[in-house]
Amino acid sequence: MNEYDIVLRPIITEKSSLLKDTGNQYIFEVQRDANKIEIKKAVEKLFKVKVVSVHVSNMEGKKKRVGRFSGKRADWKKAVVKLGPKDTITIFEGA
Amino acid sequence: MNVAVETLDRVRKKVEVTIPEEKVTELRETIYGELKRQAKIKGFRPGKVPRSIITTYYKDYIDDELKKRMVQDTMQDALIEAKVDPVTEPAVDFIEEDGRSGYTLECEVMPEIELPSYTGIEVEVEPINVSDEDVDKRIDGLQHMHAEMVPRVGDAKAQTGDFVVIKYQGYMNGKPVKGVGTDAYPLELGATTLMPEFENALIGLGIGEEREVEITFPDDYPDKSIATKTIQFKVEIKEIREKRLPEINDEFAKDLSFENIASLREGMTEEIRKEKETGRKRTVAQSIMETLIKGVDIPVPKRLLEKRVSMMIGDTMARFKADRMTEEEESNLEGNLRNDFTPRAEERIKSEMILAKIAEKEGIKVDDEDISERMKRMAEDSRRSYTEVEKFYQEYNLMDSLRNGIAEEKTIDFLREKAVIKEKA
Repeated sequence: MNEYDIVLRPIITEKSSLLKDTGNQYIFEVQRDANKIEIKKAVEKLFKVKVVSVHVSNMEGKKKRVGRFSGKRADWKKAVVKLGPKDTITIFEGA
Repeated sequence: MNVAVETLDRVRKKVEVTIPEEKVTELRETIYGELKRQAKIKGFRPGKVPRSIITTYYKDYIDDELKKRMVQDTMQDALIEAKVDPVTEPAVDFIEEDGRSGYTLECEVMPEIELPSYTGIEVEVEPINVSDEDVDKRIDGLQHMHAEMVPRVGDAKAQTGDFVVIKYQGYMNGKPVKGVGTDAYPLELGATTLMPEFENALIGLGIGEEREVEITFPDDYPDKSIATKTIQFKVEIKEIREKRLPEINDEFAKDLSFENIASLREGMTEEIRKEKETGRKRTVAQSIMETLIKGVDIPVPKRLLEKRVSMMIGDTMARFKADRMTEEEESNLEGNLRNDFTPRAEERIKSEMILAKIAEKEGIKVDDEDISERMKRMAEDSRRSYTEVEKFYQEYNLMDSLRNGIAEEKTIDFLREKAVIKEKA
């Protein structure tokens, strides 16, 4: 399985910036049926870093309405990845 | 701030400005401060975007802005420190080196010039003589200007010198031609404003009489629709007026507010003499400038010259705007104008430089009184109030050019006084 199919995109928000600065933790959207071990391996391979721990949570897609039609965004999985103290991921410095 | 000046040639100087690191950091901080408040990036509340994110998102903007501000903040002081007074907008180039921030300015400056001797320039002029002939001509003109138009009545016939009002219609192959015909057209016979054949046909014709005349228009007739064509005209005279000249006597002189004919002649003589004197003043100034320009070698800054030429072209083009022109014609015209104007602009710049230099050397200065006097005169000439004129000049930022203009005039007056004027034998 390809690593890019597991790690989908970095989440860059106020909260993720804070986590990065305080706990060297990075947030990604990942494939919905990936498990912690797969995520750990994929991140280590993609960014050449050492992963200490992975926390995951299933996010429910937001409910959206357009007029009288209601719908729902797709559910997704979020992974919070803690790196070893010397590692960083540069794509979190912006675009 | 560290400023170094290098002279490239007589009209160009290079100023290198190095800006200390603290100043650059300070500027960069200001830019960040502004961005931080405004930056809208998804995932962050306004004002809460971390610095590192701003840096990557706005990298180009920050670099450009930083350069812009460096120049804005320091250029004026740098030029003063370098004692360089550019005549055109300097060309800015940034130093791309690590550990050093700054920029270079390529400035065009007025060249140092060696003035030739400018006093006692010899100028030859035509002598001023007012001959009886000149006066006669002037009075003749007045006579015509004050001529009366007396309508002729009865069975008078039109003759050369008369004014007539005619009605005419042109026919081609028996059909009326559109646009060639009118009910009332005033015409002076003998002034050849129309085709001579046409005018000749009218002579000897009385009021209400009709005549037919056939005219073949020449190839180069301005109206292309009838050039080279033969057209039959039906002409009818509606009115004949005779131009009656006033007699030249004391009465005529009185009408022009002179006492008698002798004083009228005297007055005219004086008027002509004044006109000739004004004309001479201008020629003298011109030949003085020509001599001076020939006597000095002045390099003209290239961009300044171009700017001037473009300005002159712009003025002229604006005047031609009324005529509809194709794009090709327009670009042709522009090219022609450029060729025409370049030497003229060059000469103009040179004389400005020489005059400015002389003014500086001779201590010729324009004070506020000169300016207000000039504006008073302009107000009178244009029948406006003094404040209106003043406002106009201030509004369009023309005070400086007015000041320069007066300074130049003063300098020319000075040169004229010092010149040796010889009348041609």
